[in-house]
Amino acid sequence: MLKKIRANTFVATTVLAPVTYASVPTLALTWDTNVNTVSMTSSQEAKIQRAEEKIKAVVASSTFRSRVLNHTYRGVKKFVDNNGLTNSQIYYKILYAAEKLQPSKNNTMDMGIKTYYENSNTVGWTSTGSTYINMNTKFLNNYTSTNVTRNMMHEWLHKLGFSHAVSYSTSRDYSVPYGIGRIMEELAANY
Amino acid sequence: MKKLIPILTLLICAEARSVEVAHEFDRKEEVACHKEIQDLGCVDSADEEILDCVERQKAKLSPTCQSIHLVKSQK
Repeated sequence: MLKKIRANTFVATTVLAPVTYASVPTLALTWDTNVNTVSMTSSQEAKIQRAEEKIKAVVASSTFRSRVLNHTYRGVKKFVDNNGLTNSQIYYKILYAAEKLQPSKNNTMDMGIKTYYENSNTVGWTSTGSTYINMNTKFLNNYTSTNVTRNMMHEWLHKLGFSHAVSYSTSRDYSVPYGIGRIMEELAANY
Repeated sequence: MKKLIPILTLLICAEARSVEVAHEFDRKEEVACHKEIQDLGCVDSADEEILDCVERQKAKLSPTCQSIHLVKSQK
């Protein structure tokens, strides 16, 4: 039996030994996706839908909350290129899901996905001036839905206003899009 | 109205300049490319690539790395 003891915190009440469950905010449980796809094959569409389900499951998990809140760069709990936000503020920014171009805090990942083919090493790209992200089918067709969760989360975090260095560096892996994209992919593998 | 035109033009230009394009590259290839750039001596103490330095020596990079650099330098 679960007893609510304060907002968003539940404690299991049993006669023998009370067990405290790791809590997540209600916003994590109600978090949703609204992904519009353009000109995709049924197989690509299915992969995106599966990725959406995985992303929702991960965001609802206490592990995701813990991984974001405890993300550390050089011994300090923070992300690189964090726009001045703490890990907790970044976590809530994800839960509120107010994209720069669709700024209502609707608790929903709003995004469109277009595909293109290019024989290059670009997995995908996005522009801050568009609500769409662009996925290279060279990679999309070979990716699992778990791999796709990383790319979707990465690009969507750009829609929330987070950026990262253009060139690769060790620190770039700790930026919000790369860091949380990686967390997403790792945790999505469990679903 | 005439007074507003320069202000509107300025706002439109500012908006256009604020649009950023972000690419995600294949990680394996990008890390290998970073290693090539490091070998050229074009990585600073913070492990960040020095694009001007890469530009000067890009002919020494592999074709894959050259294409990654091309996209980055167009940004």
